[in-house]
Amino acid sequence: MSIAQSMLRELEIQAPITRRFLERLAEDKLMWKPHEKSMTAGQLAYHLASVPGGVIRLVQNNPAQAPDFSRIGAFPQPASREEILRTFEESIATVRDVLMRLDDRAMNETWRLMADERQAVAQPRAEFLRDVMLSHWYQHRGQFSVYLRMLGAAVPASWGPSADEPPLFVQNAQAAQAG
Amino acid sequence: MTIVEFILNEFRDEAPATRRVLERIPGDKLSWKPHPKSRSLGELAMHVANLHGLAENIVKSDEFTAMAGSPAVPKTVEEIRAAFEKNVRAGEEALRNLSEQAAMENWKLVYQGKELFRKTRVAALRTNLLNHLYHHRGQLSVYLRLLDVPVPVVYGPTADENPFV
Repeated sequence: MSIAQSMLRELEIQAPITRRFLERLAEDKLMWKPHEKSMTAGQLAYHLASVPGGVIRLVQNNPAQAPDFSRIGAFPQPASREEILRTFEESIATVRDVLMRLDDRAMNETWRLMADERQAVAQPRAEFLRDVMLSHWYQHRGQFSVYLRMLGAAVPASWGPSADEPPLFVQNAQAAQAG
Repeated sequence: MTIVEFILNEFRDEAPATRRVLERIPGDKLSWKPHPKSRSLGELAMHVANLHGLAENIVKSDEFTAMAGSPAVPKTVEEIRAAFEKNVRAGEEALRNLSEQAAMENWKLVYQGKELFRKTRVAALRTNLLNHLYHHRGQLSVYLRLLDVPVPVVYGPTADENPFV
């Protein structure tokens, strides 16, 4: 299996789980935030939705130019849950399209990210994708789980059970039995 | 880079960020939780520290028996940090000695005498250890924020620290 195939396989398992998290955000809570310094629930959800597609687009160029990370307020505020979910689907579709064009040679090549004239990142493309498209994405989904909890929503199971749901392999077995 | 080297590098390279998060845990807030259904700060931080112990277990054993009952409740932050440092050292050592062949062999999770799942060691390291860890470390960052503790950099800037400017 190529590096791209193995990443895509992981993403295809995780994407429906992330979608479940996004679907549980109540439409009237998009502006809610747990702390004055935090992103709003809408900003965090939109970030979760756009990360995979944004990161895979970013690594197409080498070197690439870094987006402006200077202000947290720069994260877009979505107007509706529908906008978040649409962005999410486009984002995942972009990964499906672009990722499979990266062979192992491209994955192992040193990829550079420039912040203005300064080199901010120089590492194998596969490593950057692992860290920023996936690990960083999981970190934010973890954060979002605390938001959902504080908002009184049922938290989806992900890596294990949540206080509301059994682990996914149990859910899948139950669904297979019922089906 | 082999798959095992990739995992070892990631395990080693992620440890400083986790250490930064654990170092900010306020010792007098271990029983605090953001919601009645949530893990307490101490339980969550201890879970993050203990998760690192899975590396050695996955490498050296064929199966892991999950225990029923309540999560580990630490009494002090020192206990959390000591568990983390010990598990990181043991995990690195174990991963350095993991052969590519053993990495592709199965490891299984057992609960109350029943096998819950089996997967290759490398898949278990990826999913049950690393990805799972990032999830809980993300949760911890929100806990720190809610407790008015400056949130350290993990992957990118926080509202308190920005490595890019």
